[in-house]
Amino acid sequence: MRRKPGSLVPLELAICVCAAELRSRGIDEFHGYDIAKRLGDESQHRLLTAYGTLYRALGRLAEMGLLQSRWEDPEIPARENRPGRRMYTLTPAGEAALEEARNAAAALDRAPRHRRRVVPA
Amino acid sequence: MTSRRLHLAVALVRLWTRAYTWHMPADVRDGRRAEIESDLWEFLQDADAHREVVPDVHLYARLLRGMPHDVLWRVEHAEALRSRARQRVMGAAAVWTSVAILIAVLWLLPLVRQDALPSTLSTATPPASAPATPTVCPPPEAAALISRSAAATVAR
Repeated sequence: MRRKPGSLVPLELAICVCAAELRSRGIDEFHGYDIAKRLGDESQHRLLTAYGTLYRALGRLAEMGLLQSRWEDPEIPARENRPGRRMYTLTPAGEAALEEARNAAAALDRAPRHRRRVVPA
Repeated sequence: MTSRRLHLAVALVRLWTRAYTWHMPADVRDGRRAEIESDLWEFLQDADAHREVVPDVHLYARLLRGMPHDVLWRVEHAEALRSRARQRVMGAAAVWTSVAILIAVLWLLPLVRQDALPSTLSTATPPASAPATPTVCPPPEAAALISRSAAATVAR
């Protein structure tokens, strides 16, 4: 099934939520493993998000302009003797999309639930 | 034993990443490989992640669950590349067609210019030395007949 252009799947929304929470704590940038850990903590899953699922979602969010990414300065990983990290930041468009998704969810909660019609056989 | 199993799991993750990024554009391929490499390193350093699930099982689970998305990611990128290649071909075809038309116009232009026509057709007035030739004009009745027959031909 094809997704609507511009719509967010639950994982993408969860990434944006985590990124916004990090920002509220003063952390603007995060890397893939970082967000996988946080997503695992939030959902209380014992397993972290799968590689393909996580990095495809991050890539899509970057393509949609909701996240911005950059490779960290190569001097830092060289100094710390570890591989370089791709750092992501939530963009203003990402914040707006998150706000919109929250409003839509709130509106859905407020909407009266219709009773199901029972159709006679 | 555990360490060997963990190393095997890490090697399999790397192998799979190499496999599905094989023959992709260098920036996309290297970016994804570096990102997975960084993730593996962080995971191996993170003692918390090893507490609940055996590390190599955790790696296999992350690998296997993500495989369909890896394949889809590759397909999406391949489609984007194909569409970019198609656009490049179309663009090149448009440019070459325009160049061909321009060359044809430049080649034909001297042929259709008034100066290039034979002198008998291009000179409107006869030279002064030449004897004046009387202009032959059809009489009015003949002109009417010609125009009527032309109209009839058109109508037919």
